[in-house]
Amino acid sequence: MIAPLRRALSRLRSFFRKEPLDQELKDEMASHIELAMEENIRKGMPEEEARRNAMVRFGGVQQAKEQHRETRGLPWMDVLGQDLRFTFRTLAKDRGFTMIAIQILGLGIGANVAVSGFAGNLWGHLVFRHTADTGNRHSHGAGRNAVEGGTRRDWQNAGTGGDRDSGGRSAFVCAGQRHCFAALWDGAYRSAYVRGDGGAAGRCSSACRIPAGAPSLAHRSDECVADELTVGVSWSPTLSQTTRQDGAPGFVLQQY
Amino acid sequence: MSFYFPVAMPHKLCDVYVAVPQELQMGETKLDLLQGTLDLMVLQTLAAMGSLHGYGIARRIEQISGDEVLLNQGTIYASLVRLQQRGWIAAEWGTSDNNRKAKFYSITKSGRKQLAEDAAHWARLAGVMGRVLAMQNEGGDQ
Repeated sequence: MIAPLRRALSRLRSFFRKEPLDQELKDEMASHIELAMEENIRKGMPEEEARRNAMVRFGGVQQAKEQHRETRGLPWMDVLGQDLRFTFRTLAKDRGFTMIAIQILGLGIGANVAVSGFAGNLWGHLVFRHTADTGNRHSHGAGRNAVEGGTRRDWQNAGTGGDRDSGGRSAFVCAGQRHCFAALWDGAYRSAYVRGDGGAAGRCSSACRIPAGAPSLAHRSDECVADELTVGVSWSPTLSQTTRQDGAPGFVLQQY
Repeated sequence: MSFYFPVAMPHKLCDVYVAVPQELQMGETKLDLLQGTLDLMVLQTLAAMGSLHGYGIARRIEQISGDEVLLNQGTIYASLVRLQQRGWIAAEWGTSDNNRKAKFYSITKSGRKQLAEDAAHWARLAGVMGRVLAMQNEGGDQ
């Protein structure tokens, strides 16, 4: 684990120190050739011959440099950089083409965004079908009778017509309405709190109320049976349906 | 300055010779180095000789091999940088016997460990190859 990391770091460092490292390699190679020449001269070769022999034995200088660069740095980044520079140079050279290309791209992207935005909005207003079974892992038998249809607008209307929570915010209250499930599963409302005595089940002695976004709940989430559900924004609990002892539908908050 | 090639090369060493295959120069065939063997040779050379510069390493390998391997001395620098990156050798600038500035390489502790592993692996492989190639015709003379 450490070794590859160390190599990667070393390569990264080298990538940003190209010039000094190139210079260093150049110096090193020059000293290599000189050392070889000196040895050749000591053996009795004339200077020109000694130099020639040293060069031949060294092999391709350019090739050695390339190899060195590839080994020490990030060759793919070098190639990428070259390609990008080439691209921008070419684009800058042919202004007319560049302008047209940018306009076409802009138009295409803009049109796509506009259409998908519109379609998304439309979709939200379309009738959706949602059974409690699909979104609710722990649904009790009552889930089967859950809401079969409705539109988001219905919830929104209901919301504006609903009462206000303690913070004075408009809240969507659906007392004993199964519709709330659909609204939640649909994601139309991202937060909810459950109100109700839940007395029928005998688990929530007082109002079971979850402030939006607050993870701490006085009651254990899986035991909170409520007959009234308020949904707001930015919180997404898991709910299931239950039937209260008096036969009216209630909600069980399972996860929050 | 005269150019022998259409490209301008920055270094004064570059304006005459580019790669000339050694076979053509020497008029005899030499062994091509197997992938990865150069690194091992460099490690062993440094382990045996102590601190050496690039030329010294290349020269030593040539001498030991009895001039039988085809070693472009320039390729040793890629090997040296690879070994450095792995932390198996360390480098520092110094002066050679005849007062030339040169970069000296020496093997590190982890380099010695690696050398022991690689050498053992190589010996095993060579042993197996030796045995396989020494196989006699045992299936009759068909």
